[in-house]
Amino acid sequence: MGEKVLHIDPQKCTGCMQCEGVCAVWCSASGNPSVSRIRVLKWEGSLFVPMACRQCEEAPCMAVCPKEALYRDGALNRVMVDYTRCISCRMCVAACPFGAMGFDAGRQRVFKCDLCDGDPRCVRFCLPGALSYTASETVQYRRIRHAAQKQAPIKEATHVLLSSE
Amino acid sequence: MSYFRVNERCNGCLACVENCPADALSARDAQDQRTLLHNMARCARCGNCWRVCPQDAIEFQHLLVGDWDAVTTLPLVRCEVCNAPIDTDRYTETVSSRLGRKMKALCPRHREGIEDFARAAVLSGGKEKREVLP
Repeated sequence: MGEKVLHIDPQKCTGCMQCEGVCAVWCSASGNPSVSRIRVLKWEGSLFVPMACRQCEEAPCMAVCPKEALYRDGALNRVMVDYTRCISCRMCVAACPFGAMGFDAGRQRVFKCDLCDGDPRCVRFCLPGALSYTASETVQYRRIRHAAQKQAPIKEATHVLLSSE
Repeated sequence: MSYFRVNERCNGCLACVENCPADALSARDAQDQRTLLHNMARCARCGNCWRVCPQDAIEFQHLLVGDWDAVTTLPLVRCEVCNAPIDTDRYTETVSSRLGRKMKALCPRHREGIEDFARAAVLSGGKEKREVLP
């Protein structure tokens, strides 16, 4: 089995913000959701979109960092911040296309999702099941199934034709 | 304005110049004027000048509780969507040059990736946008 990914399905998200609260408490030891590594955003006023670090293959944050403080952790295939090198210039925050990197004004340092070392707490607390931590193959399989379901009406029509014979 | 200030009691005796252990004080006599000079970079703020001044003329408190100096002023970039201040135009230039692509002026909540991701999610789900509850 390949490496696991944090899969987000906005269609299932109800906007309860439980993930934000859990993340802020667990990962930043704060009750303030502004320092949560996962953010639930409202898109076009109707869809809740939870956003967290996508652990990009060619990560813009890694490319932009002037101190090489961001590195890829091969074991979990995640991008990590080396706080001994980080100078808090916030270029990674500016570069992230998903707005997934944040800046903790209290601690004066950037933060990003580290997948809770392989057991994301947001996934554990997501009741509607919008978040899942699964193998990348499973995510691929789900996409194929979705695409197949779109073709379902045609399949049913064929079935009717076949049974009428 | 200098942080080392003297009041009108100063008579130009230069006792402070003689007793400064950091050589941060100096004086210049030119034409018919004597000017007392102070170098902030050398000053250790030890307070010796204030201690020796026979006239009690040195107002040392300005060296301890200073005001904020404006160092540089740069144009601010605001988010195209919500108008929230993001960073300066030169900062955006730096990030753009390091990434090799032009950065859009968008705050973390309105980044282009979120838009793409949300659109893809709506399409892959095979459903139209959900109804907004009244």
